[in-house]
Amino acid sequence: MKVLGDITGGVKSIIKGLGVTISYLFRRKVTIQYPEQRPELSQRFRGIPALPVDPATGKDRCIACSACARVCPVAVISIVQGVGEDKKRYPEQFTLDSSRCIFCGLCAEVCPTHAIVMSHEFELAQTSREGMVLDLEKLHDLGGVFDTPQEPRGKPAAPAATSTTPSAAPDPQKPGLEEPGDQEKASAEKSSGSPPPDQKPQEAATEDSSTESKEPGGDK
Amino acid sequence: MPGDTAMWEMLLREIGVAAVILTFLLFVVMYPMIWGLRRIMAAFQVRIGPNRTGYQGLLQTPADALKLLAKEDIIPTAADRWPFILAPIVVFVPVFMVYVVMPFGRNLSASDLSVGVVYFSAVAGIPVIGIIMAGWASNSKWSLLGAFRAAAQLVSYEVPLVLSMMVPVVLAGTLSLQHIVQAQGNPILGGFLQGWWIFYPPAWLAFLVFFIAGIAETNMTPFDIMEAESELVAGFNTEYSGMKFALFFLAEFAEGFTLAAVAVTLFFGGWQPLFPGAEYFWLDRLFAWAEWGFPRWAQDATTLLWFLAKSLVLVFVLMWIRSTLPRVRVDQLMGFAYKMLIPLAFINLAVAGFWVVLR
Repeated sequence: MKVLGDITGGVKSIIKGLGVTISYLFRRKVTIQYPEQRPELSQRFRGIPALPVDPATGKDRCIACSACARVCPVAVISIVQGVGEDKKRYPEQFTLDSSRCIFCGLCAEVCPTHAIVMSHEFELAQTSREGMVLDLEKLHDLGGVFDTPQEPRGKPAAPAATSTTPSAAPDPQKPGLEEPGDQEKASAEKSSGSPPPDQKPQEAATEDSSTESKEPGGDK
Repeated sequence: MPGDTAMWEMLLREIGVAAVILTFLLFVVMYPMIWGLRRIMAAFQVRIGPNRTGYQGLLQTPADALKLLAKEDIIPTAADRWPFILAPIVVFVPVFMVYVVMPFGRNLSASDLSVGVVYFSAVAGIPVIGIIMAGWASNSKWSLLGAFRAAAQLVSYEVPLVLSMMVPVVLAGTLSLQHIVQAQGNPILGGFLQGWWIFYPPAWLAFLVFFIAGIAETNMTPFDIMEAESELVAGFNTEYSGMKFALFFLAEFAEGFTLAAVAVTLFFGGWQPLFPGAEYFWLDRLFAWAEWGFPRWAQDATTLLWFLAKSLVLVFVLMWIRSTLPRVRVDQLMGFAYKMLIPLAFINLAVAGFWVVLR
């Protein structure tokens, strides 16, 4: 009798499984036919690091501190520092060897001015090794522009700390939610911390729609 | 003896004609079928499948064949050379030899052997030898393990396969495949359905056993332990590349179709239609209405459509099962054959005998 039960149970489960697979037969295909169709990249997609340009000044925000070059585990970034007439430092040369970049995002994370970000660019094929080395101009092109203009990022924020923003965040503990330049650690802290649960998702959602590049505050 | 040469000539000519017809049929049926199966398999996995080469990827299979032909033909230095070369041929040829007795349509079989069923089960057993040859000659532990499993599996599933094939034979009272199909031409249920054996109770279990054992014989997924890629790299064909690998691959595909075709012949009425009088898809009425002649060859050719349609439906079911069930364990596999299928097949054969005698 136990055998019969086993058999009927097995047959039932097989029929159930067949039903599942036949339903998959008519489901919409997940394949993205790449050259014609473009993948929908997530906000946190880590393409090649790039230097976005401030539309007001036409310059990037790099202060040539070389923090990215130091933190880079594969040492693909090299910077030559220059000092401008206003005594501000800027990168005279900034090269990034995309052939060896491992897309870890540490450079973007460590950058005190959020000058270097992970772009959405992933089509990096070149015909020569020299072409894989991206200079300042190419990095500007890849980075595009900052889309939240003129947030004075100023002070190097400690990685774990959330930066303060003037835009009103009702929760005094976690004011930096909508700051698009917030680093992953900050957002991780946000999600693991204890913000009032009713406010956080809403804020994050609204912020996501207004900023489209860089790291968003909200989780998806 | 003078008669001998004439007989040989006749035999050779017959073989030649049969070979031409079969090659043509297989290439016309086979290439689109491989493409279709790949697309269906892809759809089951929510993919699209080959759709770039030619219209909707129809030329993908020729392209793949060409690629495999152009590849380097590697024979490992430690391999046993001649068995290694022969093995793919030993696997490939019998799969296609089966089609010699296959009744594709009315009057459409290369040779209507009076012992067609015996011929089929004999020829279908040969690829095991090729697989064991491949495993042994490769001189690699994966190949050898795969071949061991193949030997165990194929030999033990041969028994329920043949036993369940005997049920239609008992019902039809003949071993010729063409006659078995003809015996399924009687209208049943008040002329509503054509009397395929699958509509007779003794054939239900027989078909089930036949199909399960057949899936095991063609080493498709629930029973593909002999080439379990997660355990044995690729089983017996680990060391094969290029065209030799393509032969193994093609043989496996052809075996799937063969299984479906034999199941159709034995249980689903071969080229017989589902409804009496629908042999020609009602084309005969159209031709009569238009007052054209409906030549005999055209009649026979339309019966081929029934056969192909039914076979392709069964191939689809095979794909369906293949994309659903996970692989069974080796001991489960052997236990299932000896503790379930063989006793069932024996009992069912006895029941079929009683059915025929008492009816």
